[in-house]
Amino acid sequence: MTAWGNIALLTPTVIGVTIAYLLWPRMPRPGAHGVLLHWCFLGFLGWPLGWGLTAIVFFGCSLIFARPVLPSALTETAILTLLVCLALAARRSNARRNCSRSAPQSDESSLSWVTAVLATIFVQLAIVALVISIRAAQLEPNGSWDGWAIWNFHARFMVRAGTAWPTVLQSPEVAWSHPDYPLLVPANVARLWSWIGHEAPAASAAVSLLFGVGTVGLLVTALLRRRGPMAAFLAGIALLSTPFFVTFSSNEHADIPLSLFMLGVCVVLSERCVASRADFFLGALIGLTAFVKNEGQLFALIASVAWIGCVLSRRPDGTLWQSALPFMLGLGLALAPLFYFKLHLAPANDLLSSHPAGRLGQLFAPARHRLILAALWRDLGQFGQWRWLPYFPLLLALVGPGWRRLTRFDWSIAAVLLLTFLGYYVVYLLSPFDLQWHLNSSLVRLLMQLWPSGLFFWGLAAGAEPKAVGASASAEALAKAEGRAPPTWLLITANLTLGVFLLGALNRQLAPNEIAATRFHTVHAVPAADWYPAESDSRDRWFWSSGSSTLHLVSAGKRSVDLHVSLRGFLQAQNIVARVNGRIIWTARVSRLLTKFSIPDVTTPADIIFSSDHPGIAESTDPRSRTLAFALYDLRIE
Amino acid sequence: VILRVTWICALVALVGVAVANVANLARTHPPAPIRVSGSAPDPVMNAEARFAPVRAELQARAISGRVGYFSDAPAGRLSAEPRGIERYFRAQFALSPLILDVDGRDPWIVTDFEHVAASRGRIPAGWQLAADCGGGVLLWHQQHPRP
Repeated sequence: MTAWGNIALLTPTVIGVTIAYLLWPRMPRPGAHGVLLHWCFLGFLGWPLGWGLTAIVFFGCSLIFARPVLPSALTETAILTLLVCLALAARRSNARRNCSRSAPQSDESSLSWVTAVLATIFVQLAIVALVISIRAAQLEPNGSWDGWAIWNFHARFMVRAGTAWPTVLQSPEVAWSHPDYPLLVPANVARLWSWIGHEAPAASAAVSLLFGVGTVGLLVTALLRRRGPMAAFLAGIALLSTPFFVTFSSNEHADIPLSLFMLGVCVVLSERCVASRADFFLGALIGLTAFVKNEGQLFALIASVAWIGCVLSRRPDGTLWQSALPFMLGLGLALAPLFYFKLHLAPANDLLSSHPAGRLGQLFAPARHRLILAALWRDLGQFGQWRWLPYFPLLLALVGPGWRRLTRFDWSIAAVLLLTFLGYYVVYLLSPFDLQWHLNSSLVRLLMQLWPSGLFFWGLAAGAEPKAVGASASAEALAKAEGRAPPTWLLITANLTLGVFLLGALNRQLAPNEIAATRFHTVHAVPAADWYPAESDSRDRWFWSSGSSTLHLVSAGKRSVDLHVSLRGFLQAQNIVARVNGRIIWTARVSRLLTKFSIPDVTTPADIIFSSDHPGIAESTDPRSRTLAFALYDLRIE
Repeated sequence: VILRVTWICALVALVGVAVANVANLARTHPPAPIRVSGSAPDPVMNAEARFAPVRAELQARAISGRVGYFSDAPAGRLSAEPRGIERYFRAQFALSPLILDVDGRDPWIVTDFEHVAASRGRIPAGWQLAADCGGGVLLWHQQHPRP
């Protein structure tokens, strides 16, 4: 990634955190940890807003300019300058942004040994999840099906077709790519490609991955503020240990960005703050949710209704407009690009254009209900692709009086998620497609969209009241039992040590087609197809050759390596020769017993052909048996 | 006391399940296969590489808008053949923003043949080969396209 790429990735974050700083209430009298947490929270809360804004700017510029990179960069710079000036001015103002009620405080403030251990586990799982996520991106550089066939495809239109991209999008030949899908993700990918000057698959994967990182960050920091480290780290651990989330994060399904926006809306909805700016913030966030995916439009509608319910309960009648106006302004500004896109640029949506009103009878078809419920039962167990389901411990953590501390604002999250899910259910009932296919191809992703928000609600409800039983009580009791909280240096050292150990272990993993690699994976040994498949026992791993087989030594540049290998002949001693480009680089007499050899100074990349002077011998009298000559054991490269 | 024990059990179980799931995830997601020859393990990347020369040809000839698309599957049966339609989608992705028209009414067509020798005979008379980009990807031109 070039310097421009890094700047392009950083800009939405800076814009987002500045907007959040301007619009979000400041914590009263925060301590040193509180300030850090507050800024982290603002960063992750502003994250979706920043990415939404850059998408809208690029979307607008791409309609006017054939090369939108410069105008969009200038617009972003102007917006950022304005925001920074406003933030500096606001910093001087003492009368700024105070909630009528205090900002939410966490139940636990001290870090006990238990929470320190949880934090360490969370950090280490985050490291592993990041590595796996990057591996998933390397496996499918252009993303999985939705990644390349929808989001990157539309991003290419925006980059390659100039101002004519809406015309291309309307072509019936590309109807299979769902051209009516909103453009927040494609616009951000196209923006990044434009900034760096080429369509690097890694750039689109980076955009995708950042939404996943933002989701984890927002979940943990929001719960740290509200419920303290125990619930926050547990929810973070539960999310990071959802394999589907980890691999989806980088392979460009827009369900992860949508889950971040949904989570952002849930976090803001659950806050009790009465401030017009926060209402504007929430309106904008809800509007942008609709610009991520079509499912976001249903969520936006339900979240808006939930907001009305929340605001009616917290505002006296006469002051309702003080919330409604900024909310509507934020919502309208964020929805304007979506309306323009949907009404003027995008073809009709396949679900809506198929006259769902004519299929209302399907709402009462028992077979469809059965099919949906059966698929739901199946996918609830597997949407996360867990090896071991986390539901039982998650439910067990809800046993206790933790529910009692949930406010009606917290309950609004559950209502929004439930209504959104019911909305999905109705869409399935009215679906014009083959229902089984529709469920198989989408239900797990819909559940994934709701999962981070569900975990946020779980984090709010889990544990127990302070001074009662549960998270903080246990933590305090254990902290007392242990004497005092662990020192920061110990935490950092432990995390660094464990992190290095884990990265080392992950680094030792070989690719499926690889049999050995140098320590830092600069040179890889890959057997060609003319070796028989690998065999192994508890001690050794070996490959048989029928007489002549190739070993590929793959490296990015020229390197010199030593090969250490054991060889044995099948039933007879023989001479083995290793050649590179026809030149003999090594030869040895190999007996029937396993013998160690070294082949020094092999220059890579190279294809080494190992051949025997004896023809192979059939393994048995069965005509289908293998013809074996020699075997290569436990190759090492140094 | 019961609630406290329950909470601690939940905590331990949740962390244990999470660690086990992540360990399993790491085990089942090794690094991506090492790329040995020219072909990539990912079919989309393969299509990108296959169609890159013809894309350059089309750009050099300033061809924009629509081009015809011929593959091993006849146009009318393309949507019925999952492999054929996937190849078409990948070709469309690689050559975007050009629109690939399976009806072949355009003055230029791109072929995406898996079996070049067998399928080449399907090219109608009057079409001239403009460029052979390798791997079954050919660019053809018709002097007088059908209306």
